[in-house]
Amino acid sequence: MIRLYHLYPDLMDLYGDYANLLILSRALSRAGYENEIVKRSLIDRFDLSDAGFVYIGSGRESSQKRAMEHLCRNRETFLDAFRRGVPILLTGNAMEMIGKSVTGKDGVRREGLGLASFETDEGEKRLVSDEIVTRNGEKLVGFINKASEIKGVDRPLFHVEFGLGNAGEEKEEGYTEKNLFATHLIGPVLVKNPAFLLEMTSLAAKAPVDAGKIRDRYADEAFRITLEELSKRAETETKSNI
Amino acid sequence: MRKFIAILLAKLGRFAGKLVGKGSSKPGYYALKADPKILGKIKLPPYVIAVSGSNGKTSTVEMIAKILADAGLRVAYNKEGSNQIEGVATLILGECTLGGKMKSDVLLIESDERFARYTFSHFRPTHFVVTNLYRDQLTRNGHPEWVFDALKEGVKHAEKLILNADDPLVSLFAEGRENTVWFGCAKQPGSKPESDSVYDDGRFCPRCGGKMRYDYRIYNHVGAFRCPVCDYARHAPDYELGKIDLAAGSLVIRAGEESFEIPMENPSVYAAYNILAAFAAAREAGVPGEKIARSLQGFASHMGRIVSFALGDHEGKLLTSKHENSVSYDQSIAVAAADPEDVSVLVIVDAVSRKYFTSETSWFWDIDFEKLASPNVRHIVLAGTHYGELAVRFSFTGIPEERIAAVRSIEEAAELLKSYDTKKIYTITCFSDKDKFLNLVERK
Repeated sequence: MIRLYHLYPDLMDLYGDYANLLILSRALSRAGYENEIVKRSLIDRFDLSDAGFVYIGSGRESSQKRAMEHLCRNRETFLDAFRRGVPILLTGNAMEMIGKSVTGKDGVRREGLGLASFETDEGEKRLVSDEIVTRNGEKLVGFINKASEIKGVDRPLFHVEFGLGNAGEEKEEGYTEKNLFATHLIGPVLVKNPAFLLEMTSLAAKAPVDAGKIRDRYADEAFRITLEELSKRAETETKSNI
Repeated sequence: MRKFIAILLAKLGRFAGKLVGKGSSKPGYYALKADPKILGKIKLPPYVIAVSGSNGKTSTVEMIAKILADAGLRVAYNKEGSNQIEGVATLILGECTLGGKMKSDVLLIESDERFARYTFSHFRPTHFVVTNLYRDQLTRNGHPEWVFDALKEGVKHAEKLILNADDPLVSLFAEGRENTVWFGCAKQPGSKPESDSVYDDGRFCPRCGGKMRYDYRIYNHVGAFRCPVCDYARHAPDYELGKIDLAAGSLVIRAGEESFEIPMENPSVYAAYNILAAFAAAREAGVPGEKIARSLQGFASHMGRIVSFALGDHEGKLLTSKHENSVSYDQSIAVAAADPEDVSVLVIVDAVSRKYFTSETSWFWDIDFEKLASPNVRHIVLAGTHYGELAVRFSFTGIPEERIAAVRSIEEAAELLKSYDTKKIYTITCFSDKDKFLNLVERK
């Protein structure tokens, strides 16, 4: 039984984030792996010793602070899972929680988990953009909707072809170390990117999963159309900048 | 002198706009360029009523305008829906004398949530109505708490607030101030304390973060809330919705000792709240209850949210919703699912943004598409550029696969609908996509 932990599903739930676990759970089932989604939040006992996968989604800035404070109190539990190589996916501002600090728009600096050394500054403006990013030469699509910039990332997850990076127009996005994947892309990242879903499914299964078994023609079609349409935009918007 | 030039510019601009048949906020834009402080220099009418919130602004404003006009007042309001500061400036300057005095008795403003703070830094509303705050176009507005922070600055200078008592976030505008009037809905048959939506924005107290409880909910996070941790709770409404009869299309409003029955053109709880908000605002502006009720009898929205059509020998209704606004979709889904007859439902998501293709589709996962599992919904067709991701979303609804078809082309979707035995169709889509379908059918 593979246990897929969804942490803070009630607080970090702004962008249909739960869909990532639904699609991962289905992919594992189709590949023949028994699995279940386990939800844990503020009031729950925090134990990740049997975790086969850990996920946290995006939340309001205030929710993120509450989740982060709780996560920091359970620092060792989380770090232990990370060190053991449990696959961990963080989307949206969940990424910020593993850094050294998050400074709110109120100017207050709050300690993060300190797993990574980057720091986050929240601002008064929301930064919103469609994204095309690459990882190992493969393209991914998505969307960013954040009110912060992250500085000092030494292990980026993605290269940005179109859209925002960790800070401003930076060409690097996200953070990765061991089996931890953090990105500011929001929402159903695994629904939108079948190749990334395959990678996460294999990691959770601890064995390479056959792409044919988990293929969903509608998800493939959605990815193809999104990439095609965003690429067209990337082309025209680059031209208009010259 | 600057003031005079600004007013003149606005008037000339508006005149030119009328000649070419275009209403826009350009005149206000130029006037503000000529004199950025112009709005603070105008003599305003005794009533300045602002309306803001995520949903229902336009219909609430339309209703207030009608009630006040029926009561013999001269009302200036932004009917063109230009609800940012330039639009408001166009409205005000268009309705004032060259000396800078507004000719109307009431200035009624639909205000964009994000821009209220700019508009109302120049003058104060006498009444500020906030309908609700929930997830609406997060790409443009940010999440509700973000919108609250932005709107707070605009709301705080108003003399009197008219607030939705059932919305915990909206109610927070009254914290630390006086002179608030509340409107809310009584418990309805079937209303439950638990949320039955995909997400629950009423889970935590917006004041202290504690876990909230509800005595009952009307929809999503809107209901009789209370926080056991900090005692933040729903205020007793001054204007209350009694029975909402969706089948008969009527509602009852109680105000103190009085009670009025009012018909609804397109019955829904969301519409009922808008009517209630309009009633409260008009009553606060001094119109007697019976007069308001009478005005609302004949009210027909100009918004054309529901369009009837024929497609071959099939008949249908297009229910205009709003992309990136799950509540508006939930509203349309409820209509289709509640129909006593068998129906087909077409959902079109073709262009989320009018400007460009966007991959922001997380809101599909906030919509309660699960409700379309209702047995009267015989067929579901998904169409438009985003049909693939819609189909993935629907594959998690538990609706039997054989009831669902997904095609990119809207023409093909229309052909499919024609081929079904089910003669009644509901088309659910955004106003920005609706003509792509309406061009294929016969409008009625």
